[in-house]
Amino acid sequence: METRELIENFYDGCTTAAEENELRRRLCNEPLPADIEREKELLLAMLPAAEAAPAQLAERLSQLIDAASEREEKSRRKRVRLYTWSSSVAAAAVLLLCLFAPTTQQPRDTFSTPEEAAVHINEAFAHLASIIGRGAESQREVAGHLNIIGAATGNSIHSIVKFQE
Amino acid sequence: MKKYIITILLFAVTFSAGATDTERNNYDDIDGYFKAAEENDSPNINYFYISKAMLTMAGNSAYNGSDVNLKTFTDKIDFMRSVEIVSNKSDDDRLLLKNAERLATDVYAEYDYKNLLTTSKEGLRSYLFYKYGEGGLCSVLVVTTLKKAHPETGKIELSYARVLLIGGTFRAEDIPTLINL
Repeated sequence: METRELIENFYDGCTTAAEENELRRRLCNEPLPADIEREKELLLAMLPAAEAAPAQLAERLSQLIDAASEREEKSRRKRVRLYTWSSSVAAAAVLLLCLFAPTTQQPRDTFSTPEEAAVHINEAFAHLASIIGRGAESQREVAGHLNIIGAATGNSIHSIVKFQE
Repeated sequence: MKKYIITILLFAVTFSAGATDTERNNYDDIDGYFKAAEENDSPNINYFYISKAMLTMAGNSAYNGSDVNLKTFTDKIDFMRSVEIVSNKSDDDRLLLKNAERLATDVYAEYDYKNLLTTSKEGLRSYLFYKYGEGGLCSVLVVTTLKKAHPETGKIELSYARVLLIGGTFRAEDIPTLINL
């Protein structure tokens, strides 16, 4: 179809979408007669702005958008699960630490004043002294017994030697 | 998820509860023995712990009438801990008495303490143990037990025990000198 015919049909409102696209293409890409050249800007402004997307593209775009939306939703759910699991593990770990944490507390002083402590320190040393004293007394007793035994043994040996002599 | 959390919590609660041995439930080592005595509310158990800070203050205190040169000794002592059980009326008393006697055996057999002195006369037995640690540290453990016949049954049983632990940077042979013997 001639360009002029297309323009006439366009003005009459009888063009199809394909014809309008063809008209736009010719106006943009082909050399035009002078009179049509003058109308070019007006016609381009009147013609529909963009090409109608092919039906398959719309469907593909819709599918892409759905897929992206689904991926984002999965990712969000995964993050939520991870945070829930992490916080549960952390809570359990804190609980276990509190239950099993070893306590290394130093014992506390029993007495609140040094005078009171001094009394008990002296008493403890007196107890210690009595034990050491008992030990020394036992040693003296043993030593005494040994002396007696030694003396008796010595006398016996002396007697034996004298006898042998 | 909830099941896992509940399972972990149940395990935690289960492992935190320990089974108790009625024979040795308040004694698994020297510290354990003193701790058990400290926590016991029996009026027949006398416990005390004196820290280095309190020993130093006691040495500097205005206490008179002492046979011991406290200031000289407190410079070398890091702590003093004592348990005295004066009766065998209650189960707690009897358990601590029994474990005091066992302590005397165990420190020698298991905890590498050396026996410096043992005295025994008319049921009154005393042990003096010592042990050297790193850095010139010394522990002196004194265990005294008394066995006598029960007034009603006539059975010989433990009726008194004293466990005294002194730790510091001294030599065991310094003790008689330090307590002015």
